[in-house]
Amino acid sequence: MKLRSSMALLFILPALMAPVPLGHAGPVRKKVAIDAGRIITITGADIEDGTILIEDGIIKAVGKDVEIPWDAFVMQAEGQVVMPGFVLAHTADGLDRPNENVPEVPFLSTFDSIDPLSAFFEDSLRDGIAAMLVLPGNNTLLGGTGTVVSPRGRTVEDMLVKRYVGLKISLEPTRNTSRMGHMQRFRRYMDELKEYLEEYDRRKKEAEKDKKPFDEEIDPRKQPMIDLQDGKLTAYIYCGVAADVPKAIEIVETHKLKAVLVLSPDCYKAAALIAQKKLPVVLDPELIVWKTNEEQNTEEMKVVPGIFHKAGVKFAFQSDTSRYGRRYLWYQAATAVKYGMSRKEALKSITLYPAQFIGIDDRFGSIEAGKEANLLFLTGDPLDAQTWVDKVMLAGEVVYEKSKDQRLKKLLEGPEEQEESIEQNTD
Amino acid sequence: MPAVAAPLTAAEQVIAIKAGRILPISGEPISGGVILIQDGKIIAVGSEVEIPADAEIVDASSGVAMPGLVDARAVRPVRGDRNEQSNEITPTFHISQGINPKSRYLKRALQAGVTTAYVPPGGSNLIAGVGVAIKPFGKTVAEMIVEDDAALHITMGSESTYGNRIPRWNRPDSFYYRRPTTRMAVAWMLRKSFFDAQQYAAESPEQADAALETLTAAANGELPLRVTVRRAIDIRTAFRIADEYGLKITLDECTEGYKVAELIAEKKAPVVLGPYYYYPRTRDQYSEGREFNWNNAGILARAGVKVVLASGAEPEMADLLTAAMFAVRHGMPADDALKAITLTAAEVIGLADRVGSLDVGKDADILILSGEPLAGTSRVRRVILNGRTVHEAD
Amino acid sequence: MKRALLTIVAIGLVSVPTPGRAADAGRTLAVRAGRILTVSNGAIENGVITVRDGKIDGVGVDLAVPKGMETIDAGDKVVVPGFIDAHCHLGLSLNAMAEIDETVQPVTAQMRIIDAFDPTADELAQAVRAGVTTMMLAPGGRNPIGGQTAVVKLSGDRRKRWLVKPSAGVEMSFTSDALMSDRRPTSRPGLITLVQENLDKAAGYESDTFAPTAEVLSRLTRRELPAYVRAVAVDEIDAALSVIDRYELAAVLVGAQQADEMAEMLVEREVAVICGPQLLHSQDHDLKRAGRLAAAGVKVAFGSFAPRTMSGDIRTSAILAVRYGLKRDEALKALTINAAEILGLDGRLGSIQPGRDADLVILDGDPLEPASRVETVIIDGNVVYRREQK
Repeated sequence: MKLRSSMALLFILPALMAPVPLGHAGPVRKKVAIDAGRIITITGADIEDGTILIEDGIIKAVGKDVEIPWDAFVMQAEGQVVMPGFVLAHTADGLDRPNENVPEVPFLSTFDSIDPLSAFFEDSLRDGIAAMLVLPGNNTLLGGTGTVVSPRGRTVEDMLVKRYVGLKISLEPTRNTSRMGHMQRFRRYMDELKEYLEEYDRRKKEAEKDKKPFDEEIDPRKQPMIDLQDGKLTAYIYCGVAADVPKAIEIVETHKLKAVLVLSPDCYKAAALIAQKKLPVVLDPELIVWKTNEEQNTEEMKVVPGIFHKAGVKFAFQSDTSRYGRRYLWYQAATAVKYGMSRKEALKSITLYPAQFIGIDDRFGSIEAGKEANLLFLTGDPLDAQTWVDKVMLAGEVVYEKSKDQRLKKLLEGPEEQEESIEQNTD
Repeated sequence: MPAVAAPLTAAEQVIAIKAGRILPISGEPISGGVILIQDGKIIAVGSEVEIPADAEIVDASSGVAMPGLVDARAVRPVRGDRNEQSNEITPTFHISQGINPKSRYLKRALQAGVTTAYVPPGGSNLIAGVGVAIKPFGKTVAEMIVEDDAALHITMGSESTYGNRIPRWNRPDSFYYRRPTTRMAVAWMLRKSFFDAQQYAAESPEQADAALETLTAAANGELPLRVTVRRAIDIRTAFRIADEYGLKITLDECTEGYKVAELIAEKKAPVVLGPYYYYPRTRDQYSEGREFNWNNAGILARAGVKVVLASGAEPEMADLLTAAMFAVRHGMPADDALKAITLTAAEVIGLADRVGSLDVGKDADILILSGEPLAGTSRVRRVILNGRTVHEAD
Repeated sequence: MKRALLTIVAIGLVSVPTPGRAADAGRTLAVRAGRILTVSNGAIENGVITVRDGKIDGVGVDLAVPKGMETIDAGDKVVVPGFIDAHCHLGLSLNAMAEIDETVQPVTAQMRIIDAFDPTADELAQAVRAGVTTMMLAPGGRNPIGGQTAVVKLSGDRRKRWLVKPSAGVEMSFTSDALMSDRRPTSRPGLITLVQENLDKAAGYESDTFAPTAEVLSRLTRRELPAYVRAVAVDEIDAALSVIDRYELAAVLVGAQQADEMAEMLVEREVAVICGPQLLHSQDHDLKRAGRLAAAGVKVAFGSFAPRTMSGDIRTSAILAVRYGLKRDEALKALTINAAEILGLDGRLGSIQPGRDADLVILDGDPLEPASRVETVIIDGNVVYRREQK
């Protein structure tokens, strides 16, 4: 008797000790095979009744007749759709404060400001975002550098996917500055940087000439802008109005930068120009713009993704957790499809393209051998509003399960059902 | 308002809409059917309808036809203040006199498929006045009005107390130096108003008092009564006062309705939900301490409450089809959700004899969609109002 | 001795008064001009106008001018009736910002704008130089019922001949200017209720009681005074018309920028419109409205609303409106006879025909051409302005 109960304890104890918060829902296994009703690979055709093989968190194979190793843990997802986790190419959410009071702070990093316990990350995981580039806000000229994180874990280190990604430049003037003053500020900064570097080189050459040791280091506060000019960082340039787009292009071309434009809704007017310059773009969460024609007394609806798609611009969507509908990346894609965009392109704009823009497409953005297993298990088609994210797998590990999402239960169940589930959970 | 301009009418000619699928809402869906329209009314709906030889044909054979949407709480198309703030109790305030017929929100709502919009007065006054049902198409308000003096509106909760602080800017002569500043006062003033109405009805003095007449009409059910409530305690208070004075009420906004769904079902009070709050975050509450539940509509509907989905003060004049789609996502039965933006909404605003479903004799307010209404990829292709095509998407 | 006396008397009769110092009530003189636009009876080429005691005596081609009568020879110039600015706030003793809105109370029908008027104010000269001889002064639009308007001439003489109508009508406002956050009304339905309450009260006014506001409003409801009603957008005009209909007021719309969209309703009710200033920076589609309104059959006049707006004067408004579609003859009528009819003064003003006041403007070209300049302005036969020749 005693032995049995202590044996029982042996089994129960680990279960009691294993924490069940949102971020960690299951152990990491070496080999996993997923049998899915449908697999959306993004880069290839959809696969009906296919299998994905994963080893050490990396996708080994995906296809219809994939042989499953005897020691693989098989996940049954027969009635489900498996696709790559969504990627958010730009957000200023999840930060303590998105903007600094001082305009020129390119040396700051969002790594120091990300709040892992922010509801934004909890919501993002629930809604299927596997990775996001967190950048400073739109109200600082040179805001700082960004960090790519996955919405899992309790510390920024747990969340980290890639550090030092992207440098945020905003062309939206702050407080009482005009656009003229704002641009001039930028130019002056770049001129001063150029002078600094020339001065530095001069001193270095002098030291070499005099055969003296030269151990002066570049001012670390200037390093990110130097890396930007050297192409080691990509500029994320926010355009507040369509007229900012030519200015952004001027900056990109003058300093030969790698850049992604972050657009406000008004910037649909500059679609042709952006297409011409072949710049990648992140759209504002607001996808519909209304134009009032006072003479004709009409309201004309402008569908932004449609306009950019027609112009031939490659773009990624943003979401906005403060509004229903737009909080979901799949809703943004569905809206684009509603107004004429092809399904394939729309799905790419929430997976592969943002992964490419932020430089993590070696790991995220599609289901291909060699990429990390960052997958969504959906209850149905991704663009169907009745579909829910059932599970999220990051690097081969299931980190979210809807059945265990207490917060979601609270949001969907009435008081009686909640009382019942409280009773069930305390058994 | 004098209705001087002629109301919208279609020609004598019959118009036949051939649709891939027809959703009458009041009955089963019809595959490959026809709707006949004449003089702005529906004269036939069905799969075996004969089309007259000289009828104008509208080919929607790849589309889905459904009734025009009914927005039971469209607050936007008003010029200026939606309340006369000089007094807290203004039963004779007519929001119809404040409507801007050229409002861009009416145009946007029309393009989103709304063919009947009910406009209430604002929520800053305790007894705010009477609302009006309009069709969002026409040059003057008179042309648009379907029914004026359609319902009396009451605001419970703290919104009516805003601005009433004693003294405001140290000016006791300001008209904000008044009750209510607390919930107690809100309840008391409501009771007093209906008490006065009872006295008035009992004494029937020679001098007619328009305000008391209106309250009396609401008290004896001649004028529908709509109460804006958010928190569960306000819902309970509303029912308590309603029971005391024998009032039948409809609940507007009703953010915490899910907490007291059975009570609302028991009282047989319809509920008009909207706008849809998702911000600031999944966790937090916000002003007035409201706690929201994404499945408010579903929980209420399953408890047997008549639920209507309306746009309210939604910033971008919510697309009702999207609202219904999300309501279903969160747990509302699909049929109830479709009714919530058509027939049930029409019932709640008292116009179910005219709009809300595709039935013979009703107004020819019809939408043609590119697909199923609750699919996120369906678009409104055509809007027909009173038998005329008033919007066609390119 | 006798001869000297006679000479003095003769000189007195013949001398031309210097600008601004007209001493007599009305002068006697003749005007000869290349083109006379009578407005009432078409255009006369190379004609003569005779003026006696400040009134027009005769107009015609072969008119006999009495020997020795002072004659102004405007050889190849154009003569038109003096322009009537149907709605403005010029000449107030302090400044227009402070003077025209008594907003403590929303209904101030008993207030009269004439009490704030200074006939010798300098800024009146700018209107005269533009050819304006008569104006209707009005209170502002920040009260639903603002006060009584007045009609004055710009002759500036000290014997009060300039006062045509001390109480010409009652100014009302259905615009959002009349709504305030700390005074009734805060909303348009509230405004309509307030106006109706006051008009209802006026119906019960008894003449032996002291109730100045009700007294004025009772004259309004008996159509003894017209209502000058400000409204800009379609719904504001609609609201105004509902009240006008209900109380059967004799009304004129003021401003009424979107009135062209309601033209049939206005024609039906014979409601005229005093258009606001047409500005160079207005939108194209707004500048087309006056033309559309006139084409639909609505009687149209112009008001400058000066000095509150950046309008030059009503002549500039008319020229712009013509540019955007108003017919030229309609424009000239708007500046003259229409305004006179609207103000109930067409028996005295607005045309060049016998019996009318001798308010004349001489220009060196077509009045509706921007390059034409006003040369001489005559009010009641007195020359009040002559352009300096360099």
